[in-house]
Amino acid sequence: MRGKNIVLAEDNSVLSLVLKFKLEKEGCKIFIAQNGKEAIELINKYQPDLILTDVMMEFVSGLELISYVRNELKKQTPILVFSSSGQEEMILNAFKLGANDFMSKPLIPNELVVRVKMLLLKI
Amino acid sequence: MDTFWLEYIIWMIVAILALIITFFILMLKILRYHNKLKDSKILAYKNETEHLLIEYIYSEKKGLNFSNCQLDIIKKIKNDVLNKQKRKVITAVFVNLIQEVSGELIDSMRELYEEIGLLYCTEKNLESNQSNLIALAIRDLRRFKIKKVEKKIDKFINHPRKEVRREAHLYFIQLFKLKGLENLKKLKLPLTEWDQIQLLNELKNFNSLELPDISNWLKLENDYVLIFILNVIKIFNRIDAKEELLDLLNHQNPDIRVKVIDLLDHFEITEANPKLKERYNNLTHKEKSVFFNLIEKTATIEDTSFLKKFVYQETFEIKFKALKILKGINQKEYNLISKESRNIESNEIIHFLNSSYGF
Repeated sequence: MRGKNIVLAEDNSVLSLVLKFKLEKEGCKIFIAQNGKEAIELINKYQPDLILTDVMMEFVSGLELISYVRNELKKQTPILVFSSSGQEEMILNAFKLGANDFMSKPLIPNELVVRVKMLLLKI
Repeated sequence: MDTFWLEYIIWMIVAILALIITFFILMLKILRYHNKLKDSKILAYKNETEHLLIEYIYSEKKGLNFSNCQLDIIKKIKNDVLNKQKRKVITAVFVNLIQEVSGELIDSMRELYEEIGLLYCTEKNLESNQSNLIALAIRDLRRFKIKKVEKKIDKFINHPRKEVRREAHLYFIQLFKLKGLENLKKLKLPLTEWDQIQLLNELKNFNSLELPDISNWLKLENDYVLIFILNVIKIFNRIDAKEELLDLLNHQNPDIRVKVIDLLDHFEITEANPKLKERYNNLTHKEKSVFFNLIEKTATIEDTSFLKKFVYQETFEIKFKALKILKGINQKEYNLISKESRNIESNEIIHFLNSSYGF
């Protein structure tokens, strides 16, 4: 996991900090985006090894971001989605668009780290 | 001369008004500037608090005691809690995070919440005269899962304001799970539809086997709580209180009777049929309609004579259901009615049932 670049798209600033702190302890480099538009800019700039994204965001939603990465950039970068709405339809849409994993909020940071490790091991 | 003085007065008024408007424009600019300054200070403080909170959470304790770093953070934030504006920011940062994460982080945050004095401030708000402050205080205590103030929250179960009652109910359900339901027994005031939806949403997360004995609940005097419990029975599929449910068919509130019949329909409890047939003429229209839903699921050929009474009478809805059920249980009798019927409405229904299979 050391040296891996991760883009984190999350509009809740304190949650972003918590996750950034947690993942940086594992040796990752985290780039935080406050909304989907910023996330796209960071993805184009840093070519991350993994993308973590919330679903509900300004400008570009998490689902639109997944679609952009899979259909426009044609990249297979692992994407983990999290949402406070754990509705079945939301989860299915995320996977249909190409997400690799889904977590419902409230998140357990330790669990997130384990899932990130698993996703990074596969690449 | 006359016009000179008139013009003079008008120009004086214009000048005065222009001065007043200029004054207000200046005031507005000054206020806006101060507001922007205030907002930027609040944002800066919010960022600072967030960093302190993260640092605290990820600092390691010295055994059971706080580390030096944690003690410094507690001291800094404790001072700021005394300032109302800063207290608001700190609470917002805490609440923002606690909604998004779970696990051991919550325990750390709860510890900090108590240490910096936010819990003390929240408990003080419970004694306020303003109901919105009480509701917000209960909400914060619920979010931080502070169980030790249970007795203080108990007295708000029957608060005159529904916002306070709603928060109190949610507090007990979220923190004490199904045991928290017991507090609803003390409720003497209405439980709105929205309150019921919120509580049922919480209850859906729980295991139905943990549900306490329902039969006592069905003897409550508060009709709103009774309707809520009937919804709970439906969601958790708890059929163990069958006798008590049948007794409720005699309840004085027609809404409860309708709910009970709907529940009996859901569980397909046929023991209710003879009772309801006996007093059919005294049922309200809603009860009759829901009763026919029950008959539709549980009807046998023995119900033919009962159903035949409604083929030409009663409202359209009942007529339709009666014919539909009759077609399903006794085709011979139905065909006879089809041939002999002179009622236009009944004939239309029969034609529909014959050509569309009732869909």
